[in-house]
Amino acid sequence: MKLFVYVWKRLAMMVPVILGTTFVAFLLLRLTPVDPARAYLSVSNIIPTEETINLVRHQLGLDQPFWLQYVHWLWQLCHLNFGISFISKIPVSQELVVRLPVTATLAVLSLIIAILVSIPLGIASALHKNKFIDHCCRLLAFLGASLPQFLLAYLLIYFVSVKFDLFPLQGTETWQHFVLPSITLALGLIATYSRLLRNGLLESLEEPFVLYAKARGLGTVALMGRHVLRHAIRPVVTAAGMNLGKLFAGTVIVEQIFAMPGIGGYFLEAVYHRDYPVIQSFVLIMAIVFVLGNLIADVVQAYLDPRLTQQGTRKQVE
Amino acid sequence: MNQKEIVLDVKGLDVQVHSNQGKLQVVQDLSFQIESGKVLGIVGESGCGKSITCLAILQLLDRVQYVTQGSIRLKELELTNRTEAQLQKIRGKEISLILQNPMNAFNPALTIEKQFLETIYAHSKLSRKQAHDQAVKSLDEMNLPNPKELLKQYPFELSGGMLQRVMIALSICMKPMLLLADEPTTALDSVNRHHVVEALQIIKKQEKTAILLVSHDLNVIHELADEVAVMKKGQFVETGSVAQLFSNPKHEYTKLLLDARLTTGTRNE
Ligand SMILES: Nc1ncnc2c1ncn2[C@@H]1O[C@H](COP(=O)(O)OP(=O)(O)OP(=O)(O)O)[C@@H](O)[C@H]1O
Ligand SMILES: [Mg+2]
Repeated sequence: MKLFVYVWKRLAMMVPVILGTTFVAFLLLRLTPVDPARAYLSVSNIIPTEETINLVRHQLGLDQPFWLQYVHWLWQLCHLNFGISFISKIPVSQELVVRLPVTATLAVLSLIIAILVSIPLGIASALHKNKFIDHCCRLLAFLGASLPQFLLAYLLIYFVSVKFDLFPLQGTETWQHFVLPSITLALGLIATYSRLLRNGLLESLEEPFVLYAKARGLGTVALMGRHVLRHAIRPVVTAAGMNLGKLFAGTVIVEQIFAMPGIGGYFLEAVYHRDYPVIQSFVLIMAIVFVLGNLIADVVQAYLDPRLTQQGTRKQVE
Repeated sequence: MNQKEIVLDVKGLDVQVHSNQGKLQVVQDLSFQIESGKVLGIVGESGCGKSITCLAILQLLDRVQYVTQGSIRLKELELTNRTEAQLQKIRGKEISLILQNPMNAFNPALTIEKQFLETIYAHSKLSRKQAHDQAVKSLDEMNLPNPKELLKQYPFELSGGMLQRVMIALSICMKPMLLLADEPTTALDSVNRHHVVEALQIIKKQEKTAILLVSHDLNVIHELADEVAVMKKGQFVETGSVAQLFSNPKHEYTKLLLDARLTTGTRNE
C-alpha cells in the first residue's frame, strides 16, 4: 500500500521532468546556428536562396513563433503524433514502431545478462577476497571497463561467429541475433556491477544483523540470500537503473557493427540534418527511459529496504 | 529438576587476535561453569574481552583472524571441534544470543515476524501457522503487548526497549539450554532496563536455561546473577557469589568497580 502511494507520487513527478527536458531541448535546438531549412535544401541538392529558404521554413512551420511551435508539438504529442521527419517525410512514429523494439530488446537483454553474470562473480570474489578468483574477476573487470565496444564486438564476431559459427552475425530476425550485441553491451556493465556487488557483500558481512542472523543458526542460503545479498545488491540496483537510459542512448556503435536497425543510427542521422521532429522525439524517449529506469530502481530499492517508503509517507502525513 | 546439571563448562579458554599490529591475547585462561537455572554475571571494563568470550562460546569468531584454544562443553558436547553445519544446528536452538544494540541487530528490511519465522524454520519442521503461534507465545511470555501486531512491524517502527524485549523473546523461542546476554541493558533507559530485567527473571524462574549475563551495570548483575566473575584484560580477577562479592570484595579492581557504582548511584539520586 505504502509502495503503491510511493509509485504514484513518483509517476506524477515524471510529468514536470519530461516537460522540462523537452522544452530545454526545443530551446537549445533553435539556438544552434545550423538552419534546418538549409540542411533540408542541401540534402535535396537545391541551391539555398533567400526565396527557397523562406518557402521551406514556411512548409516546416519554422516561421511560427517559438512558443507556438512548442505548444503545437505538445498538442500533437497528446494525439501520439511525433511529427514527420523533415528529410524523409516519413512519420517518426512509423520508424519508431520498427526501431524502438530492437533497441529496447538490446538494452534490457544486456542489462539482464549483466546482472545475472555479476551476481555469481561478485559473490565468488567476495567469498575468496584477495585470492585467485578475486584477482581474475578484477582483471576481467579492468578489461571489461577499458576495452572499447567496437573492439570487443569484433573480437566476439571473430571468435564466436566466424571461427566457431555459434551465433549469426548480422540482422535481427531471431533471438540468436541479439546474443552477441547484448554480450558486447553487457561486458562493460558486468565489470562495474560485479565489483560493486563484491564490495557491497564485504561491507554487509560486517553488519551486526548478519552476525545476529548467524547467531540464530540460519543456513547459508537463508543467510546469504535474505540478509547479505539483499543488502549488498542495492548499489547495483541503483546503477542498473541509471544504465538503462545510457544503454538506450549508447547502442549506436553496436547497432552499426551488427547491422541492427535500432534507434541509434536513426537519430544520429537526424542530428546531422537538424531533423527537428526526430531529434525532439529522441529527447522525449530518452527522458522517459531515464526517468523510468530510475523509478524502477527506486521501487526495487523500496522493496529491498522498506525504510525508504516509510520516510516518504511520513513526510506526507506531517 | 532434582539435580543441578552443568550446562556450560568452559576450561582454559584462550583467544588470540591476529591483527595488523601482531598477535594480541584478548582472552586468557578462562574457566567457568553454569548450571541450568543459574545466572553467571560477568562484569568488567570496556574492551576486557566480554563480547569475544560470548562469540567464542558460539564459535562465531572468524577462524583466520582469531585463534581459540581450550575446551567449551555444552552438556556432553564439545563445541570446539564441531563442523559448521553442526554448529548451525546448535546456534539459535541450544545456545542463543542477546546483543547490546537491538536497533542494528535486527535486519531493517525484514519484519519481526520474518526474523522469528526464519529462526524457527532453521531448527524445526513446524508449519507456518505453528511457527507463528510459537512466536506469539514467546512474545506473550515476555509480557509484550499485542504480539500479533508486533510481529507485523519492521524493526525501525519499534523503540529500542521494545526491540530488546523482542530479542529476548526470540532468544527463548526455541527453548535453549544456554542464553548469552551481552550487555542487554546498556543501551536502554531505566524503565526499559526494568522490563528487560523482568523478562530475564521470568526465564531464570523457569529453571531450564543457564544464563551468561555480561553487563557494565552492577545493579542488573545484583538483581539477576547468582555468581559473578570480574574480568580485566581478558582474565578473571575474582569470582564468587553475588552476596560475597558485593559485601566483601577481595580484589582491588572489584573494589574500584563497586566504588564507581556507589558514586554514580548517589549522583543519579
Ligand atoms: N579484530 C580485532 N583486532 C584487534 N583487536 C581486537 C579485535 N577484536 C577484538 N579486539 C580486542 O579485543 C578486546 C576485547 O574486545 P571485546 O569486544 O570482547 O570487549 P568487551 O569487553 O565486549 O567491551 P565492551 O564493553 O566495549 O563491549 C578489545 O580490547 C579489542 O580491542
Ligand atoms: Mg562488548
